[in-house]
Amino acid sequence: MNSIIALLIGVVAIGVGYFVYAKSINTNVIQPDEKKATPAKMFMDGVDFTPANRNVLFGYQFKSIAALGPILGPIIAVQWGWLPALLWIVIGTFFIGWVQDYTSIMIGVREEGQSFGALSYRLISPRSRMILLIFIYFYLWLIMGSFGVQVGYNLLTKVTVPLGVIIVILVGVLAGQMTYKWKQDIILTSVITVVLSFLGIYLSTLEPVRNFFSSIYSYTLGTDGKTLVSPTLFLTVTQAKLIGSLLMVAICYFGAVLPIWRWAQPINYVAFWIVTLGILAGVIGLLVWHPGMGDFPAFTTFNVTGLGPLWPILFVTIACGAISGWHSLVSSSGTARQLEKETDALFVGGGSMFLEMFFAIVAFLTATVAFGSFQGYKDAGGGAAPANVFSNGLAAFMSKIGVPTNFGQAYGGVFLTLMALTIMYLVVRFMRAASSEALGEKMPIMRNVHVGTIIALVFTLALIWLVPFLQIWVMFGAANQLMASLALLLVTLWLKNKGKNYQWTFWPFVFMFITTIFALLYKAYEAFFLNLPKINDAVTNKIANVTQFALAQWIIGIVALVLVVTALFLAWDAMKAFRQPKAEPAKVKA
Amino acid sequence: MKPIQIDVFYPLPEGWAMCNACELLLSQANLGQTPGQRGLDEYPPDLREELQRLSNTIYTLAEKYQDQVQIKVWDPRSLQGMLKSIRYGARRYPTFIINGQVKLTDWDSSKLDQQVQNALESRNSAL
Repeated sequence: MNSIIALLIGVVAIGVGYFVYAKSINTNVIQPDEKKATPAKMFMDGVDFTPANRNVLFGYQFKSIAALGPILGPIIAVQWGWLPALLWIVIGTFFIGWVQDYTSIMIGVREEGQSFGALSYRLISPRSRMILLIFIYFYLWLIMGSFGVQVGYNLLTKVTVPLGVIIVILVGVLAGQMTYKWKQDIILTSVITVVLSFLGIYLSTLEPVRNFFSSIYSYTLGTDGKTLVSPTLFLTVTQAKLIGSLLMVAICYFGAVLPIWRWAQPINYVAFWIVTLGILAGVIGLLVWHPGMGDFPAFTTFNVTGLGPLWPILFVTIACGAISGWHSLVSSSGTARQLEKETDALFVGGGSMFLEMFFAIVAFLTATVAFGSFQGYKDAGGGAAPANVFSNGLAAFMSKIGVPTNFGQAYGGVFLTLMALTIMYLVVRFMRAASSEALGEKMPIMRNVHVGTIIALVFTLALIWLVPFLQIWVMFGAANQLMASLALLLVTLWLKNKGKNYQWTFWPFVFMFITTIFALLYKAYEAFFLNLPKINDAVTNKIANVTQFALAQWIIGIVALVLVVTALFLAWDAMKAFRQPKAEPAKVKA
Repeated sequence: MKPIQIDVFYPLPEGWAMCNACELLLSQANLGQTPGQRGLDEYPPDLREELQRLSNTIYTLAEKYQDQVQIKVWDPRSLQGMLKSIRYGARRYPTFIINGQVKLTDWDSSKLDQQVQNALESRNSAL
């Protein structure tokens, strides 16, 4: 299939999904009222509740939902073949994705901007709020793990990436100094810092720099004559992976302890330009080139090694880009509090979800068309190193408009690293704040900024060093989809309470809930009953380090079971709430 | 009557809110400080003072002129803000542009007030 056809499928799905299905639900079921006061107007405080123009809000919503998820998920999922991945992106968005995002905004608007925690407390049960918090803590840890592997193991271990990342970070620090201390013109600051960043990325492609990092990582050529091999130091951690992960941890540490204006904010600003220009160049290159998929199979096999069976695992592997529980938090707690008019909700919530679907299709194409073959995709890293696939794929697209491939590859690597780091050092800040506030009274040392940060980073390193990426990613996706199930359940209960048709949210809830539960049960089963027994014959099963392998299975198995238990508690409470008479929320004690 | 448009250019400090994802997680976890406020206390004191001053100036204008003025604050680091600051030549901060014509780039609030009054008078005389 040609890439243009894949893009056209996306365009048609947007046309029919948004302009026919979504508009019909909007008009006939939700019936937004333009004149009705929204929470943004009722409780305007200039902080959380602020009416915003629908175009600005669309940008806010899209920026919040489209991070690494819609990029990495599709690239991993094409291991089942391009057809299941593409179908799930399109059908998932069409029937479930926009439904969740849009209704999460509307429920927030109609329920006076209450957060999902508060709504689940009221509509389901008091303990559902606690379940939500447990989910959030696991979710953060899994974010750090999955992004951390990509940054520390796959991106910073490429010899053309670390210098580029370090230079862009230093340039970001310079941008902060110029803006906040020297009070320089922003346009001048932007031009200087973006040009310096490009220069830094170019420098990182030069041979002396590549040789320098090769020697630091002690790279030698592998037996295939193509792959670079670094010596293993402990567990299965090579010298390159150790340095890459420690460099990542050091960057996150500075991001978490230095004032936000000194590090996180200006680096994020410079990174914005790198990312925006990269996406623009990649999409233009793709349109100019419009290659086909070559021998990339439509379907490979039902059971992919390292991932599992197509159902249910595909449906948690691609979360963002099809349906993601994360979006419901964004929609209900953020966007719903800034919506100026009820009639803007479909454009903001539904529209940005359909745009994210398009973004996911572009990422999907970096895996399926950029390398000309399935083997090319696997050689670029395949599902185990989706960040490499994306950066190399983007480089291939950019090369069609004259960007040299080696520069494009370094650019793609720096681009993705910065995208991930922006989220990561703020997640570390969150983990630090959480541990300080939860344990600070009993253990005053936890209030120390450095102690809290180091503990969060040690947890991150443990996950990265112990658990294989694909296992972390599937758990991350499952936690995400558990959240989606909760969101759809809340919306269904809310529609039922209001006496409205709820079939269009109920069936997506049933599908997502069953799929997620089975995905988690499968991962627990796989960890305890398929993988753990393999340590009895470590040599035949090619297990490099038995202790690490066993620990990884225990971590994954336990996390999966905890998530299953939380989901079942939630379903039980929801079932009770569902059986209650119409318009009567669950009776709870505060 | 069409209000007088006042565009204000200033690089606005961002707290943790620069990462919407993190902000939302914080709001769900209910960790004391509002997410939008987290990190703002880390900015240099002179910048915080300036921001307070700017905020007071804007509120005073809004209170005094009510519906007669429409005030828009632009961060020159946003795409739209950058394009507008190029268009109006706003290179120092804060810069106030009144009705797309008059440019003021200092903290003198009486001068700003005078220019707004002039703009209102010329609008009224044109009617």
